[in-house]
Amino acid sequence: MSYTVNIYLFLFLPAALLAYQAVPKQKRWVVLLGFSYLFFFMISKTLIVFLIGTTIMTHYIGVWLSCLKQQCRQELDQTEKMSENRVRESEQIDKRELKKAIKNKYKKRERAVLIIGILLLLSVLVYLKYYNFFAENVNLLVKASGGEAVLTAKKLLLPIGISFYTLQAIGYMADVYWEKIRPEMHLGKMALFLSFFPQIMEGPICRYSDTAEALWKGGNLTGSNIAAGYLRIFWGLFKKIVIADRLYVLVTAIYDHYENYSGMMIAVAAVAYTVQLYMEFSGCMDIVIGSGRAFGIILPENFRQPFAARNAADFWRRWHITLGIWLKTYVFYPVSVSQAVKRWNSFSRKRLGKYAAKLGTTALALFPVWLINGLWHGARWSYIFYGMYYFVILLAGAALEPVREKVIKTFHADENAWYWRMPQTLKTWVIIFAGELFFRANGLRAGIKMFLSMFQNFHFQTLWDGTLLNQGIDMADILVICAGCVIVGIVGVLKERNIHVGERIGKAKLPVRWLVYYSLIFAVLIFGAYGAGYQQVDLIYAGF
Amino acid sequence: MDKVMEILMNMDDSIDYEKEQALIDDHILDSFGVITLVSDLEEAFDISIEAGEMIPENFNSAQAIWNMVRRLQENS
Amino acid sequence: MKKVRVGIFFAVLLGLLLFVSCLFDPVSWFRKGKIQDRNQSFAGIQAEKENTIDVLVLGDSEAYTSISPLKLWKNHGFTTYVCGQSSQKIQEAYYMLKTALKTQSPKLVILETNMFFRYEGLVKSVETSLTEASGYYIPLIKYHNLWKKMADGSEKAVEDYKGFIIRDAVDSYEGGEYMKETEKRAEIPEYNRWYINAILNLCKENKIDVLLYSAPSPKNCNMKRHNAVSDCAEEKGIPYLDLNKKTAELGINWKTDSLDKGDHLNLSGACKVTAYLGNYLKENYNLSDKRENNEYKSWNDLAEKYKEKADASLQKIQEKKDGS
Repeated sequence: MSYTVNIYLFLFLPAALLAYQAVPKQKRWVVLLGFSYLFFFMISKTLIVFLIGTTIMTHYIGVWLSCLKQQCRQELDQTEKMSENRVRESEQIDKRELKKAIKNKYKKRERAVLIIGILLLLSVLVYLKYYNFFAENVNLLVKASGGEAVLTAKKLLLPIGISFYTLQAIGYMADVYWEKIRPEMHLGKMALFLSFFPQIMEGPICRYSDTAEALWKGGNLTGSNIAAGYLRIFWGLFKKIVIADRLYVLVTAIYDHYENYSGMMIAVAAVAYTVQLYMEFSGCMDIVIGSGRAFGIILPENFRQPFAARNAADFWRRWHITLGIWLKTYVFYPVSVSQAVKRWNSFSRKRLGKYAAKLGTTALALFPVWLINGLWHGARWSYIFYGMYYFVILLAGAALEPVREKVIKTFHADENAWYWRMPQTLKTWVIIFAGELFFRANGLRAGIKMFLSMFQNFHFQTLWDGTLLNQGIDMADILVICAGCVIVGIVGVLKERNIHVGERIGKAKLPVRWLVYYSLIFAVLIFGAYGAGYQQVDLIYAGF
Repeated sequence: MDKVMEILMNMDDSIDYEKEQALIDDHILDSFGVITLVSDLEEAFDISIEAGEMIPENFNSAQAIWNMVRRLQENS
Repeated sequence: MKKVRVGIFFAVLLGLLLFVSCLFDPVSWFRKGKIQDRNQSFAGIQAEKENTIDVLVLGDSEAYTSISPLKLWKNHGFTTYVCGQSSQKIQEAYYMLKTALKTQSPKLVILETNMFFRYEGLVKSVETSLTEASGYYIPLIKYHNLWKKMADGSEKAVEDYKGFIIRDAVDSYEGGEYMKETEKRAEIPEYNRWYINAILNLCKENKIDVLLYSAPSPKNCNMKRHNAVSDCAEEKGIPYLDLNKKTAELGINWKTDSLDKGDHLNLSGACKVTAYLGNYLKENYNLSDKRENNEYKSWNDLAEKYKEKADASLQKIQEKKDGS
């Protein structure tokens, strides 16, 4: 089951809503949890034990951390009391030292607990997701040096959403450790936070402080929430079924037989896949966020008009936002304030100067972020390459920053003028399209071959001489895709100017509102790429 | 407080730090800027800023940064 | 007040859906040759003149590669339509029957049994049920893709041999005897049983006889499945004709009659099956001969065209046989 099928939209979700409303407030979380576990079970069957295991472990680590914090506080209080009787100056200093020692002792213990928790969670994820990749490459190495294969590939099934809920669990533990949030004592609440069914498959990756309370609260359903939720859902269906699934045919045709294509067709495929991925992933997020909204739960946004980005860094603040935030919070910052990086920083500042120091620190902190970003998508060299691709581009961006500023100052350029923004946006698009080319290609080698062949036999006429129309889509398809993209584009541009079309519709007069609802429903029903003659397309990100 | 201002001005002198209340939320200070700022602050005030402190609320304004620095000084 | 508004919203929606559905009328599009996908036989049966079909066949590719309605017509003079789809699911068969019964009142429904065992798990099956039901009540959902053809004015002649498809390739089956005696039974999933019952009930309400039928297919059939269907037939008190047990009687030659290594029959095999089935039906059911009836002239015309095509194809098969 995925979010785009009838059974979810018109059976599962309505049933969950009805059941939710039917029970008293205090028990509503049980309904949500029950439906979440049912959803998980329907897809991954008995692999649900992994989810339950993760939940219990995360909960336990949280409780353990809280105990340590409690003990620490008690010990500090005792020291305080003991020293109240003594008034001598030297003993006061002694007390401060003592307190510091106690704090340090507990900090160390807490850190150990946190590390245990993270390692346990990661080891499950790494084993299930990366073991075969690891085994394969070890074998290649061994074989290259003349030995026999040592590790055998195993048939490992991934529980649905493991890449998403594991990150949420790690985020929760770190937040408790940093005292950003209070540890959760109730196991059920924790279970619901990790498993909430609209977001289990594809995110968004939520932080505990974002959603846990809202999920727990059990607020009443309202007509306007349900209407807004389903409007958002149909908007997502429009993106997914009308645009993305239509492009899917073209994209698979070219990527799966890339040897037969070159030049313009490869460029078309790169753009088509990027658009497909965006429409699909953001469309699915619309369905997810819409589902949450129907319950009155606000899930964090995952996209913010990524194609309006000014540069690659900006793109990643607008594309898969929750993953970016997660990596920034739990990888980038911790690494950049770690002892090793600090040592490098103070060393290089003295020896190499401020510019080099900053660049070095940036590189040290960015590298793990992008390695993890690449690997997170899956155990493939092309994903690792994809991560490294952005690492290099972002680092280059940081390195060239002084040059850029100089250019702007010398020429008195206006950064918001069209002559500056247009080339900037185009450059960003090229970076994005090329990145997604490697991302989608069937393996790194295929990606490199495709990229190189783009510069051979580049003919514009392949767009209209029939080559393009021979890839399983016809003129009518292209028209629908373009019209769909224009509509999505207009809504995006308005949003960029702070006009939220969805909210406006919700507040509009009834005839306008209904007209929009009906138009959207009919657009999806008539122009959707579903039913006879089409293949049902699985969600891309559900596979990560 | 003056020291914080000095460090900030050192990084980018085109911003009015007295008034600005959303250095992070408005992306005036990006993540690279934040880590440079952190290492400057650590050096200037002899404090240690943990990853847990890296939240927008602590860096959104000069005042917020100063508050964090004082808190960390007291706790150490 | 609010509830009334919601009610009106959905009422208007339903009205609009049904209205727009009229623009996607499958019959006229079928006659223009524009429906050539999974929906073809859905539209095809609706395009038949009212109350003219005597025998309705439901089934997957095993059905439309083994039963030739025009040969049955030629030999015996009763009308048959094969409402087949490749890998037809039992839900599709159910709604196919419902669709057919809107305009037809057949005497007999032949249910090919291969789909009894086709099951994709509960979630997907429910999804299929939802899709098929919504497509049945709101034709727009089923035929929405016709918007593409609306701009395209060209027309193609339909080549519809009442649901049968002529196949002249030969790829022998060489596995030998496949109906080996056993007491074991394959399992017909509970979900499918529910639909089998629904189909039987629908037939009972409309006073239609039902015949369970298995086309010869070494790849799909075996004794376990035979036993399971036999049990089912016995339980429901309906006859079961398993031609896999009568391949000798039919004269099936697996060297020449197989289309794809024992999965389907080619035209040569279909002719043998059809000849046997024709006699069987004539003997057991009261099916009148309409060959002299002027209202059925179009059947005679089509049968001539079909014969020409079929003879050419049989010739081809013969050549392949001699060649090898």
